[in-house]
Amino acid sequence: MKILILSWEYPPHMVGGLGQHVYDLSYFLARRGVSVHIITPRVIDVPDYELDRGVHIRRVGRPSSEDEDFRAWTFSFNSEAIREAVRLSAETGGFNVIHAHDWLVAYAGRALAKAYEIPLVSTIHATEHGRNLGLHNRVQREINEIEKNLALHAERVICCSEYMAQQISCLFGMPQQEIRVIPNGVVPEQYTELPDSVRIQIDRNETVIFFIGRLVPEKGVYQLIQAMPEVIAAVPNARLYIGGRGPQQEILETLIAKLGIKDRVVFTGFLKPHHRNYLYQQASVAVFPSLYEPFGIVALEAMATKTPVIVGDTGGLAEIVRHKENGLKVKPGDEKVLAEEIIRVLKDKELSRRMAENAARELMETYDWNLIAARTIEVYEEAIARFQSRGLPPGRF
Amino acid sequence: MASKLLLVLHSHIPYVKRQGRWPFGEVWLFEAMAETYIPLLRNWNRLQEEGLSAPVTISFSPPLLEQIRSQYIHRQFVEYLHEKERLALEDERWYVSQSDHEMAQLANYYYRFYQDIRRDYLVELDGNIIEAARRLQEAGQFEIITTAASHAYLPLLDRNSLKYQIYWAQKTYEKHFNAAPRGFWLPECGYFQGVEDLLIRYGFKYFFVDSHALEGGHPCSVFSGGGDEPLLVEAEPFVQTGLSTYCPYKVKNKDIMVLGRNAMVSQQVWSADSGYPGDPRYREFHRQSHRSGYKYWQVTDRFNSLDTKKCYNPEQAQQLTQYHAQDFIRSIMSTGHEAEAMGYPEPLIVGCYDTELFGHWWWEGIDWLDTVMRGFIAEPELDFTLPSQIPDELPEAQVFESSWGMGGKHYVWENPETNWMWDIIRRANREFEALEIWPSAPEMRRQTYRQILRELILLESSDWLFMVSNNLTRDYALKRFFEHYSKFTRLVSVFKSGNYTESFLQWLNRIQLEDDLLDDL
Repeated sequence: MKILILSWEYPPHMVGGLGQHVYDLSYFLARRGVSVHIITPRVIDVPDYELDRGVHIRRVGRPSSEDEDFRAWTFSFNSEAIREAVRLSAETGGFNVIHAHDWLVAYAGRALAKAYEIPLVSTIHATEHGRNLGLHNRVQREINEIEKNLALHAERVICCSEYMAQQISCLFGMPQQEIRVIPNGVVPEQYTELPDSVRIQIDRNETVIFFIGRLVPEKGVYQLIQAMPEVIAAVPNARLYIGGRGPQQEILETLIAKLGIKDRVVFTGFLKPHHRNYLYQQASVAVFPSLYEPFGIVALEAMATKTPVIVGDTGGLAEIVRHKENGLKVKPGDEKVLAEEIIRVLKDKELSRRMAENAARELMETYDWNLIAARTIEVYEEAIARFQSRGLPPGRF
Repeated sequence: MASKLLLVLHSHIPYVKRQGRWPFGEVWLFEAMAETYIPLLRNWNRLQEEGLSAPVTISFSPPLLEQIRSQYIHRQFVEYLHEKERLALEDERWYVSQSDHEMAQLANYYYRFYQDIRRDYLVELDGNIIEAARRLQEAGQFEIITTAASHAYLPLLDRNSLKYQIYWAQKTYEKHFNAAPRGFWLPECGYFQGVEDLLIRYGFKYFFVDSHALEGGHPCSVFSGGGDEPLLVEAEPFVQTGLSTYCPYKVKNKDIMVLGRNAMVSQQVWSADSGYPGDPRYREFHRQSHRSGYKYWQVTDRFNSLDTKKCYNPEQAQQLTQYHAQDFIRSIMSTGHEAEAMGYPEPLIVGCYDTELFGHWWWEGIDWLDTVMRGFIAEPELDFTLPSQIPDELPEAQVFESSWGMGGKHYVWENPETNWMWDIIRRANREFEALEIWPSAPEMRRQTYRQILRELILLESSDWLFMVSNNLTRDYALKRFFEHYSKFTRLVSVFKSGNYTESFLQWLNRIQLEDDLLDDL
């Protein structure tokens, strides 16, 4: 089977979790004998073509830049992706399936599927409606429309949680039987390697609370900071490490100053994988109190590093975590409950240990990339069968 | 002395055949046929039967011609009319069951409308709109002109594409009307200096521009499209030239006539604020029944939400068209008097409208137009004229680069929302130019080459740019734009490599069926 994957993100170009997902998926597909070609935007100082562990990576178009209108850049990238796909198709003898990830590649995916008469599989990682808790302006409505058509024109839609399947089904008016839920996965080995030298000094006597993610309202960092004074009162050596960057940072810093806990909160900035692993290793608890979360790969990261985890009871996180079995769930937006649960994890060592062990075992059973790749291949086969059963458009005149 | 009205109706629907039916696609064409083209032809046929003459200049875009002449569209259209009749009947029954007799009557009104249209189309027009138009041209009632092959916005196009757009416009016209076209409608009145040379080369005798292209001054931006957040642009004033649209001209040093659109006369009908169609008693375009899609409401108050609209009253609206027609005639007469006072004893008044405005957008527009025509015939001070009746000896004029879009220039089609589309169009054009073909090439190679050109021409449609700029059915526009680009790129790739596999050739036949305009390319 030969697959063309279109993705806006691919390492080293990473914005959210999309790049990591496509990176792991393509490698494990290749391991199962699928021929995988990825088309992704060009990145400065990175080769246009790479063959990485059996995966062919083609980088085209202009590197994304902040000076350029984002939508114009996106559409322009779509046209470059089309050119590259046409070239590749001639070179390799064509593809069996086109797999498009998220709205940024929607038009290239749809147009190529139409022009080559091959099935389109779309993965919807998140929706504009969910990201913004509604559609509030013209651009958001337009992106919603693009997402909707990407879903409706695909033979099969993949998403990462039951929660997302329901959202997509309601939002785009699409039968849930046409949506396949395949959870995200982690590769545990990616979380064991530590940095040669430590960038962030952590005092041996302090109790580390760790958050990692984009600093945007939907991640609930604001509530986490609000919970900190109560946590510190109960556990005086607690310190919160916030990994990641984002537009909300200034607002968060203001809050921290207002609460007078500047010395108890550290912004680490963007964390490269090894440094991230180090923080997980040092942490007594990882907290992801999201208000909206299609999946929540960070919960799996915590599980892979055997870090006790507390998550917001929402979206995909709510499906991954079972309360008091492999982690704790808190009501999203409630900093009081959040503080209590953090204190509980920090004090009840037995509970923490048991949850972390359960989590690590489950990870191997459910969130294993081998399994995910196998299920994805099944979806490709379904899409091909469905496409063929519909037949080609009849030649009418 | 009489004022002379030169009425220009410009008809165009993008190429939507086999490219989606509803809510976007073929239904656009069917609506224009049922609500505009057929009623219009019927009215002009009646005038002729009564021995009356109201000659009008009318353009049919090549995509429109290619679509309405196809058997496929013919069959689908008849099916569409049956469907409309059925929906109206169902609505009628439903409203009767609700004891809503006002609405039931309206549903019945639509039922009769579509039944009449079906009869007019199949019996009176013999299922052939083009032939009906051709007969009116023979009778001197229509002067049919053409426009760019895919209604491309010409001022921004590369020279080679320009050539194809104009050449294929001429060819398509000849195919359908067995005569050479004399007049060219520049899509969106988009003019730049030099386009007349190509028009002359392909035998055209005249074209139209917006008023500021001749007179200078402030562009009168009546055509800014819809959408929830319309575009805004500062209009730069043009230099006042002292010329006037009351007079036809020859382009300076060129053997071609240029006619300037009379902005005021156009405004009266077009304008959302002051034009006739916005009257509270006319039918509301934007609200439709969730059950059937029928429009049962009147404008009521343009600034209030759609759910506050009152029920539509066809008789009342019909009476109003009489009143508005008389108003229009009076205003043409006073415009004529002003022109006379300015030193134009036989002023020419060029009124240009999208044909689909009448009937489709402005439901009562067809009746209004008919009344205006009859009023003109009865009024000795007013007369009709056609471009072919204008004598050869004309003063010369220099024409400004311009369009009838907002700001008077290219902004509606070239702006931050569409610049990337132009990059793609121009690149495709360069790629096409680099391809080599000779007459002795094998048939599959020539067939591929022809399809490449078709996809390029379709990619260049101004419709996609307009929809993206105005945020109207934008997803449909982008989908079409990228699909034509994908097909184009795939065809070019095979053309260059010469790798004509069996599956490619089968595919080629299929897309040729889908994008099959200009079949004698």
